[in-house]
This record gives sequence, C-alpha cells and structure tokens, in this order.
Amino acid sequence: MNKARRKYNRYRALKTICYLLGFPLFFLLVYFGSTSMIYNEAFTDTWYYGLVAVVGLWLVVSILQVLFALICRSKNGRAMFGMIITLVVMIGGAVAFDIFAEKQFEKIAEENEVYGITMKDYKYQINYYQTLTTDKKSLTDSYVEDVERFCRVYNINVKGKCFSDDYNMDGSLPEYDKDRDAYFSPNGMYADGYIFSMNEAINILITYYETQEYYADLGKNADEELDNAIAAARTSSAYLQYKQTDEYKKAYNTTDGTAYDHMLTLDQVDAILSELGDAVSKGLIKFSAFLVFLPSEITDLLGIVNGQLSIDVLVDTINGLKLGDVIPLLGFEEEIMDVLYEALLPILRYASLPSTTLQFDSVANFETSLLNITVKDLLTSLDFDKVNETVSQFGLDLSDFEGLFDNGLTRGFIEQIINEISLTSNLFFYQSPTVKPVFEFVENEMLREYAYAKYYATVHGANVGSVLIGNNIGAVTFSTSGYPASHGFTLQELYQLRADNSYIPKAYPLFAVRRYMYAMGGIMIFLVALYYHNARKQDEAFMELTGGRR
Amino acid sequence: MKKLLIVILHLLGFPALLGLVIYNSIEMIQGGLSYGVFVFVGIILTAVFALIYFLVIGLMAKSAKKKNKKNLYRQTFVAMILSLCMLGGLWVGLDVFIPDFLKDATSSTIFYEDLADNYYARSVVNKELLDEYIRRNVENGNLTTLSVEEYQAEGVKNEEVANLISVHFASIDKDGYATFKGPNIDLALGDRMTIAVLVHLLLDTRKIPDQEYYLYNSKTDKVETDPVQWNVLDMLGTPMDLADVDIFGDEGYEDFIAGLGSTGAAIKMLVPNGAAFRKLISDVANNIVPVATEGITGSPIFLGIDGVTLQLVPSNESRGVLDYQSMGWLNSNGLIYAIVMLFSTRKFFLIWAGVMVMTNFMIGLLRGMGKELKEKEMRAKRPQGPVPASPQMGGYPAYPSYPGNYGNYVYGSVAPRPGNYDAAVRRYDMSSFR
Repeated sequence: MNKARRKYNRYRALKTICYLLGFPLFFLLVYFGSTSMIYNEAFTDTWYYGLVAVVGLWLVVSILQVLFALICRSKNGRAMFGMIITLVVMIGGAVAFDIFAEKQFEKIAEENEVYGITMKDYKYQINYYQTLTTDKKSLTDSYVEDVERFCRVYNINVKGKCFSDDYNMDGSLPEYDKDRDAYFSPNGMYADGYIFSMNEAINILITYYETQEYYADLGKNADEELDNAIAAARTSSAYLQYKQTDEYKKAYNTTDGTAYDHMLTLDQVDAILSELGDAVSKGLIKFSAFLVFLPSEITDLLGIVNGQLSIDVLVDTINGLKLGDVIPLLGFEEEIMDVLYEALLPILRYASLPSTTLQFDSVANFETSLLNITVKDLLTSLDFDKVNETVSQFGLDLSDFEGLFDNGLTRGFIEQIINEISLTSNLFFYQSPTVKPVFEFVENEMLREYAYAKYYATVHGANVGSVLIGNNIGAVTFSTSGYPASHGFTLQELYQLRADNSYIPKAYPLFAVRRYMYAMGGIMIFLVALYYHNARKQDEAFMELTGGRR
Repeated sequence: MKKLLIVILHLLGFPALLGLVIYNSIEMIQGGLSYGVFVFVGIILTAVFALIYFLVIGLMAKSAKKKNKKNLYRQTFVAMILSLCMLGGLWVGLDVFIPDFLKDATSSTIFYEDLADNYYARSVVNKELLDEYIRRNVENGNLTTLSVEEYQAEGVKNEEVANLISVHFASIDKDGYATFKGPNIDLALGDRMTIAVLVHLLLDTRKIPDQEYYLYNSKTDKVETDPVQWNVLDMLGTPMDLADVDIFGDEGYEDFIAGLGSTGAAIKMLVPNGAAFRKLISDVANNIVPVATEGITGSPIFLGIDGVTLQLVPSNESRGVLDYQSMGWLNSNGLIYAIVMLFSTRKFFLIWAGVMVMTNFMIGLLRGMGKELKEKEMRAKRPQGPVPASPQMGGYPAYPSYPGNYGNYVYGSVAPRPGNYDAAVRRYDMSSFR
C-alpha cells in the first residue's frame, strides 16, 4: 500500500473515530449513567427516557446537518454549522433544561408544601440523583429503597396487575384505565382480581388517613360517622329507588340474583347440612364402638345426623330440646349450677309471661321445671320487652331477635341470620361489579371517598392478598400473615412518596442526559470540527489517489 | 501436513459440537426416551446445522471456477459468517424473543431463566413428574397390566399411560380449572390464597362436570368413566396445614389421657399410644370428611396428621393425578422436553460460534498457504500469448473492475495506457502522472 493510500485510510479512520466519539459515546455514557434506574422497578415505565432523549438530540443534529449539507458544499461551512448546532443542542439544551426543570421543581415543591413535604431543591438533586463520590448514598438509591419497602410491605408492585383481567367472577368485563394503571368493573370499582399499583395504593391510604385525621380533629370517629352515613344511605329514597332498578335486581334479586352464586345462601347451607349429615352418619356406623364414650345427650342428638339433615330438621330439633339435655353438656360443677339457678329464678320470674310452665315457688321446683321445659316453650313463655330491658343493663340489645320470642326458632329466623351474614360479612358478601355499592349513596363526599378507600384497603385488599389497613397488612393469606400494622407507612411518609413519584421517575433518567450534555458538549463540538477536518483531509487524499477525479 | 491440519480443524467444528451435544444429552434422552423425536431436538438441530454448513462449504468449493486467493477468502468469509449466524445468531435472537414467549406459552410456569443454564434440572423434573404420575395410578389401580417399573420404563409409549394422561388432564382442566369463575383460581395459584379466595373457590356455584374420567373403583373392581369435579386443593396438589394440635403428639396424648381419669384408662386400653390415637382420628375423620367434602366442594378432601399438624389433604394421590400445573406440564411434556433439549444446545452453540469462526479462519489461512496455490496464481497472472492490445484484454483479477469498455479500471487507479503495463506494480503509483 503506497503512501497516498495509507493517508487516505488514516483520515477515513480518524473521521470515523471522531464520529463514534460523538453521539454514540454520549449514548453509551447515558446508558451506563442510567443503570441504577434501568434495573429498578421504580423506573419501570421511564428508565429509557434519557436514552430516548439522546436519540432525539442525535436525530435533530443529524437531520439539520443533512439539510444544511444540501445547500452548502463547503466543508468548512458544514463544519461551522455542525459546531453551532452541536453547541445549541448540547450546551443550550442543558442550560434550557436547567431553567425549565428548576421552575418545575419549584412548582412541585410549592404544591407539596401544604403537606409538610421537604423537597430538596433542583440544584441539590441534580448532583445527588447519582453520586460520584464513593460510599455517598444517592437520591436514586433512597427513592428505590422507599418504593421497594412500600411494595414489599403491602405486597404489591409499582405497576398494577389484574388476575383474570378479562372477566370478573360474575362474568362482567373489567376495563383498563391506562392513566391510573388500574382495572375497573362496570360499577366503577376495582375489578375482582385487581392488585393495586403503587400510586393507587398510596392514594387509597392517603384518603383513609386524611379522613380519620379530619374527624379526629373534630373529636369524632370516622368509622362511626361512616356507619351512621351508610345507615342513612340504606334508607335514603335514592338508594331505595336504585334497588328497584333492573341493574340492581339482576344481581341481588332474592330468587335469581347473579351475585348469590358467590354468596352464602339458605339453599347452600341446606345442601351442606345434607352432605355433612350423610357423611357423618355413614362414617359413625363404622366406629359405633367408640360412641359409648360419648354422653347420652350427644348420642341422642346424633339421630338427626343423616342425609335428611337440613335447616328445618335442625330448627325442629333445637325447638324440641329440653334444657335438661343441654345444660349438663356445659360441664359446670353442681355448686356453680345451684348458684346459677338461684340467680336465674328472680330474673325469669320477672321476664316470664303468666302462661309459663316454669315454677318459681322454690329453687328446687324452678330447677325441675327449667330442666323439663323445651327451648321453644322457654322462648315463647318470655316477655320480650322485659327480657330486652333486663339485658340492656349489660349493654346488650336483642331487638333483632324479637321473632325468637314469638315462635321460637324458625326457618325464617335462620334465613334472616344467613342473609345478614351474607350481606354484611366481608367474607360471604359479593359486591356485584355491575351494581353500585350502598356507600355510593352516602351524601357527604368526604365520607363517601372514605367508604371507598376503606373498602379497598380492607375488603378488596383482603380478598386479593394485599391488605392496606388492618392488624396485619400486605400478604395476609393462608400461608403468610403479612406484616404487623406498625410496618405500614405513616401519612407523612405517604405524602413524601406521592410527591417523589410525581417527578423522580421522569426527571432522574433525564438528569443522566443533562449531566453528560455538559460533560460532552465541548468535546462533541471539538469532535465535529475534527470530523470535518478529517473528512476534508480524506477528500484531499482521495483526489491525490484519483488524480483529481472525484 | 496441511491437509491433516485442515481435517483436524474441520473435526473440531461441527463434528466435535455434535459429539458434545450427544454426550451432554444422553442422560436426558434416557429420561424422556418415550417422548420419541422431542428428546432428540438438540441433536437434530445440531445435525441439520452441520449438514447445512458442510453442504454450503462443499458447494462453494466445488462451484469456485478458480482456486485463487480471492475465492478462498470469500469461502472462508462465508464459512465464518455462516457458522457465526447459525450458532451464535440463533441463540442471540432466541435470547431476545424466547423469554416472554416462554412465559406466555407456559402461563408463567416455566421461565427462560429456569432453562438457560439449568435445563438439566428441568429434564429431571419432567422425568420425575411422569414417574410419580405412573406410581400413583398403579397404586390406585388405574394401571394394572404391568408393574410400576415396567410402566415407568415404557413411559408415554405405553398407550394406557398416554391415554390416561390425556383423559386426566382434560378432566382436571375442563372440570377443574375452567369451572372456577373470575380471578380466584389464579389468585390461589399465584400465592394469594386468602380466606375470601378459599371461600369463593369452595362454595361458589360452578359448572357441572361433563368430561369423562377414568378412575379405578375398588368396590366394583372396575375402571369407571364418570365425570368428576375438582376443588382448589386438587389444583394446588399439596396438603394445607390447618392447625397444630398438641394431643396428636405422643406427650400431648399421654397428658390428655391422664386428665380424663378412669375414662382415660378405659380409652387407653383401646388406644394405647399417640400413634394409635393419630391413626384412630385419621380413620374416623377419613370415613366422614372425604364423603362430606366431595358433596360440598366437588372433590373429596382427606384429613391428614403430620406430626402434631392437622392437614387438609387433596384427592390427587387417590385419584392418581398431580397438581394442575404439573398435569399441564405432563400433558405437554413432549414439547417441554423439546424446549429443554433445545436449551441444552445453547451454551455449546454460543461457544462453538466463536470456536468455528477461529477454525474457519485457520482453515482459510491453511488453504491459502500452499505452494501449489501460489504457483497457480502466478500462472494465472502471467500474460498468456500475445500482449493485449487494449485495456479490455488485460486482467487484474484480484480487484473489482468496472463493467463496460473500461473493464480494467480499478478503484484508485488511472486508466492504463495501451501497451505493456504491470498493474501489480503500478496500481497506486501515480508519480509519472504528476
């Protein structure tokens, strides 16, 4: 290879090196400067912002250079233009970013001032977002730690997730709200299988704690206020009207409501009793030898345990039970029972109707008559008002059980209890995804928001294994008990995390670009000059090789 | 000597790779031999690549009109690129696309990270799944013709076993997994089995089972084909701890008996120690609980006692099935074996991509080193017959030429003048034109 050719190749190589030391190196530096964010869930959706910004800057500079090259053939002119553009984009861009971002930071700080948040200013964060000093903790690391702690404690991820995102238990379809990263049912509540995103969980907790604080400041209890508001909502005309709509009836109509497929029902209890009775009776036959060890009162009762066992059978059996068959099962000492009879005598004498078969002339007769009376006879021979008045002295209220004193135990009464359990127990009630919950009809807006927050934090969270409020929080399942409530975030910590979430995931990846824009700006302008210099030299070498032809 | 080295370098390429893949696969193949072609995927892939490689380099060598350096370099370059793309490119590409594909295809039950370097462990799991499945079904009477070992040796090649797996999976899938409405079953399988989830899974209204199911009935001594239903514990396949009960322990039982006084002494004559007590409780409970739970939850649940821990034991063992996820794997074990065997080639392919670039380069060097080739080239360069009268008749074979009337113009040269012109010397020497 002769001298001219070597010269040509040398300038070509130098030109390429100058180019590679420009934007490609800038890209690599930003990439390595973003690694602490790339591999962290806290930056799931934003880690690439810095890299995209670099590519954007690269494209802008390249396109402008190509356009300029179309109108300018002079290498020196192109070099000058390239340098100016690089200066404007790199240094000017970094300065503009500083001005814009600083104002944004001030705005965010102002917005959060009311919550008592201490937000480091822009000039601090821009250097501490990723520290260069050995062993100096960066703000990115601190933020990532907070996010990870929050997600670990509440058993959630930064991004929301929906188990079975294409249908709820009742077959209704959830919809994804991209802005909130949440899945919602047709009634506007979370889908059955939705696991909170970090931001949704923070908002729920803040609403919950803020409302509690608000009512505490007024010397009231938020939960009591809510209970009262819900009770009022249940009898409100708006709710009663809503209960007459097809939407409501389709889910909760007592005969064919779709929600009952997922709730405890009378038929279900009957079926369970029948299966249990059948299985126990067949099983006991094989172990009849051991039955002799059981008290006769129990073996007598086992007679009803068969395939025919149902609520009706149980009701009749309980009504027909003599207290003499039940009381010995309590296993109290004789002396204690004597005291008990003496104590009960005046109470029952006061509360009994004249028609009662109980005898109050002596303790012995009272005991005999009490042991001979059936459960039903005892209940129907009592004056409900007097009984309720008596127990009210101990803080009890039997108003819901009045029916027992009219007809004894009845199927209707059991049904009422099961309905009560099914409709009020979080375990057995199914909130239909197509029906508005009763707390939607709470008039006070703050309490209404609180009701939703409380429902999500306790009931929904408990359903999906991400409890937000409770004695134990987070992954409370059969195999894990989550964390004690003391591990939960305080309101102040929640405010801080919410404020951090509002800008850190977007800003810090761009900080990496801004840092290297300054660091690389001067170098890149110099490299542009060198690039064009080498390009010109390469052209000259080519001319030398070709004898003047291009 | 040169030819011997070339042969050795060729042997170090695909033949050595194929040998290594075979050697590495032997144990895994033995474990899954009954899955036929699926367990040979790694070897087949390597053999196909080897065939393509040797065909390409063979055809290139044969089709080259001239055995000069230019052709040799081109062949060497193509061989290097070919081996790099086939071996390295395949896995670089798969590494990008296969993780999410695998996650989706296996419903998040098998991940790329589980297989990339730990494929052998997965192959062991595959083998154990089948062995365990066969053991359960021989023990419960579903498989009666052969012994456990014989069935395990035959694997899914045995029609009875293959058929049983397919029937059992259809049942646990369609009459099990698919009958749970909404997210509860996914929450349970996703380590989020809360009390509410369990209540819904056990008590919610479900579809009536309609899949035929094979199960040996010891009373009738026949394999019955009635549909059955599955509950959530069957899906999970493992016993669920209910509570620790002190009296199930030996000491606890003694304390309990002592506390009963004379009744205790009478009971002790019938139930002398903790072990007998555990057995009694287990026998009594398992005469009642499974029948009741089958009626209520669709599938029997047994009571088990492990130490002092009371457990709910699902029906998987008695019905002869594995948990839902394992049944899913077992039903697609052939494909999983194929994926495992494919992954078994990964590391070797990536290493050999580098090795073969080097061996091909060395082969190329060796082929271009020979004296014979140099002489051939020299002969080709020497002018043959009369001196060309025009540039079109000259030849500069080692450099690209422009077509048309100026066929001898080469990059960086000037137009040769008619007459004697030694291109090899004057190609870039332009001093006489300045």
